[in-house]
Amino acid sequence: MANGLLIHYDWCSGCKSCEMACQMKQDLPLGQWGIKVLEDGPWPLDAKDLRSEKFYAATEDKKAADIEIEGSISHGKMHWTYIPEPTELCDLCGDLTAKGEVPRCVQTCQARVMEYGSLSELSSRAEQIGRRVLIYLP
Amino acid sequence: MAAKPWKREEMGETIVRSCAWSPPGCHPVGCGVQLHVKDGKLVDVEGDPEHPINRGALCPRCLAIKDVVYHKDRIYRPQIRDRADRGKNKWREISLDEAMDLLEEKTRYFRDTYGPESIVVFCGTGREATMYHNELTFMSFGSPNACYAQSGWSCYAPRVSSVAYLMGGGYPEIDYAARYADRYDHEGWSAPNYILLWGKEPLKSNADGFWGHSVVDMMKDCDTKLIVADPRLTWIASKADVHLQLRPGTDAALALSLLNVIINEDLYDHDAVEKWTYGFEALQERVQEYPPEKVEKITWVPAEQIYDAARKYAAHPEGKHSAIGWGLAVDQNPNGIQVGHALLSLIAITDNMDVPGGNTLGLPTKNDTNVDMISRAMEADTVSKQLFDKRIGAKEFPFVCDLMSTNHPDSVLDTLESFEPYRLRMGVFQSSNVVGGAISAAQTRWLEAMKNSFEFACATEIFHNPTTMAVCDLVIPLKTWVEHDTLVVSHYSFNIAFYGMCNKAIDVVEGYSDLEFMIEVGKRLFPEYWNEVNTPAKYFEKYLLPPGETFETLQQKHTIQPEEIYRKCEKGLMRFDGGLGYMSQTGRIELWSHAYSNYGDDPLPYFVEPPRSPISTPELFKEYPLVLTTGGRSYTSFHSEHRQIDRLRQQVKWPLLELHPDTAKSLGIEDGDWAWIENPFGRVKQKASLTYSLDPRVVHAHHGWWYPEDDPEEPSLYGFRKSNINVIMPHKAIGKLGFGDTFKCEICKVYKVTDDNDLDNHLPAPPVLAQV
Repeated sequence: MANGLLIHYDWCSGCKSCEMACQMKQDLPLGQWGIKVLEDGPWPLDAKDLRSEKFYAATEDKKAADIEIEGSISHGKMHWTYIPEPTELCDLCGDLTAKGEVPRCVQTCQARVMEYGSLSELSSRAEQIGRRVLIYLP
Repeated sequence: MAAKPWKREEMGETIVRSCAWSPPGCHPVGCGVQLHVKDGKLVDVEGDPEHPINRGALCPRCLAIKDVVYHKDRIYRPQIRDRADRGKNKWREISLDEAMDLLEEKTRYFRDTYGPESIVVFCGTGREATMYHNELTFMSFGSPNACYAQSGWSCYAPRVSSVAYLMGGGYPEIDYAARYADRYDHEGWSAPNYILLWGKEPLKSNADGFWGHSVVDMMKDCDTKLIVADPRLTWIASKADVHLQLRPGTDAALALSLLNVIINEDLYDHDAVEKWTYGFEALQERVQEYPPEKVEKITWVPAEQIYDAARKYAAHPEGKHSAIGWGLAVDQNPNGIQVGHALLSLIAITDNMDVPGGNTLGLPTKNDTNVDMISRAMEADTVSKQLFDKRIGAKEFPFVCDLMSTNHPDSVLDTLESFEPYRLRMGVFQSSNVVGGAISAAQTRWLEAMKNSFEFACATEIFHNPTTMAVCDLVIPLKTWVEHDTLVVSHYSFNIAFYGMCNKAIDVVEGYSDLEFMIEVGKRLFPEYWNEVNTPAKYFEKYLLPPGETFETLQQKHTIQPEEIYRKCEKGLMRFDGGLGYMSQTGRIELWSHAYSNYGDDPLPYFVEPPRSPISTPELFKEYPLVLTTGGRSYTSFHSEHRQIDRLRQQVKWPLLELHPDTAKSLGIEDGDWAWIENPFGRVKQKASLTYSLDPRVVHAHHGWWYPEDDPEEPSLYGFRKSNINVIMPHKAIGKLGFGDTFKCEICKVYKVTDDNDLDNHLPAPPVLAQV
């Protein structure tokens, strides 16, 4: 039965502790990672927020000082997601799991969004969590 | 399951449990770590799953501590240099005894020849050294001049002082169930309904000892919701129900407008107001000047968001409370004392003070190392009253210096430049990189003035930095947190989540911890004071540990969480005399402040524009047409530290100037371009990072950058002039009573770095990403 990692990426804060914990534990050289955090965002979920008409109206002559300086340029919800991605160098910390511990990235995760287990265990956890969750079998 | 012992042997390794602090820096968060030691060398570092706060998690800086401890550039033995060689990398190693003999000789010389006031002791921010700064200055060097070189003392002290003046002490922090062993599961604890983060990004800063990712814990697992007031959309702000994206520096107007809504819509708690506050009617009248529709024009925050946030914060569904996490933006603002006043008023009138899920309150502290040290020094007769009268800036800024035992930082720069009222001849830098670091403004002025004024200067540090290289004649190695025993007290003891033991695991350098340094200097100069407390263990037992605990008992228990007691003002616990209420003049939280009035300021909170802004200086704004905020953190550095750690530079390589894609487009700047940030005080360059997290009219610059890979010698001094935003922050742009600066509310213009406009000062060399 394959073991893997579950990542409730809805709450991954992008702190990159997993990257560092893994690189240090495996003593990997700089530029190599057992897990890498990918970033997407922030970008506006509402298309009108992509281009501020107020701003462009005022900056045709490229003088930001001419922007109307009173009043709001409000934006709606933003998309901003981090996804930790285990690489080919992830060995799921076999030495630690053999001792009954969890992989180092799981222990280190500041947002506590990573779990270790068998695919079936992780599948039921994913179902329980219900949204924005990934399962990796490295 | 019983907790693991603080030290154990496992498979050929010694594993030491410890609570991390500094150096290298962090705040006193005291995260639990397990240090694996083999043959006397640190081989592995992991989080400690049994620690009540971080529960196994850890940030990249602690994970990479091995690379700090054994770094090739570490200062391993004391070093001296001829005064003629200042600014040159010409150091000679000496023994620790020789170094201390020299330091003692110099101290005695300046003390006896020019008076103890000719010695000034600097301390930086956050690190353990901050706990002992005043005592080191007064009781070891015998000088009245302790200097925290941040313009307007603009870090934490303004908030702590607001609390002290308005309610007598006990710093308010978000309730994150920190004093319970079982944390969020604790029976009877209830999570915040809303957390309002004000100018604070706690995930990255862990400011003052608050474990920032608690906010994620509570949002993810306890249904806590979020409101954020911040000019930047931080990642956590993207999870907020309301993001109040205010114009930098307009915080007071926004906070007063929230009060306006809460008071006018009768959303406040009448009982709490009646019993525990003073001056409500006056505040009610004042907030009429700040209706949301008017404040929208000042702050750029839509009025409907102000109404929404106010209603959400003041609500108590199912009796739940809400918490405010107030951040550095309260301090780094000349109007900041009023921001703090308004936020405390918000907490007080909504019955969110000292309640479950609201703001917890520390007990008022006796023997505090900041506010009580002057009386202790006079009692110990190490500094006389007469000498304290010579404290620089204390008469000019009593509001600052009556509470903080230090001198006034901006006045110190004036004195260094003018030799008035007297010349400062000897400088001691304890964990403080004044030139090229994160806290001082006008850094090239500090540089020239210190070079000119100091006949002798000494630093305790782990690495050389622009300050040691520019002005120091003697450098004494500091032990990192894995190399010394110490006590970690969160919030510098103003609101203690736990007492934690930082255990020494290895020996690396011929040097001291901050506390050992204070004791060793003290034993030489004031033996009668220090012979009684001549070890760190004795020091902790005398001054810091709870009654009945010893160094050994803490080592065995590892962490001690004090009891959580809510509504202490009703139990006589917030006053030293045991009376009900608080330790202000009226015994209540003063919405109308007697103290502010006595010191000559408005007794009620009010808003003033920053000294330079689109509104206050419209003509200047035409030339510098962007609002500049600075100092957002990254996970990989503590202020100006960690720049030489290649593994951390992998994750954040350069200082980033964040700007909106539309703004960048109008300036012809693309992502990754180097860009000049220029204001009336000069210019520095950072790498453009295009992001929708900012309003198009606002840019944000990282702080505290220097390049350890660059030339250490003058005139480069590790290239601090190239990118350190503090180089172009103004001197003495402070508030009426002496607190605050404009680090978070300046103006600037931005343009692309080109070969033509960067002739004498080329781009920083890329760091050598060599295997450590």
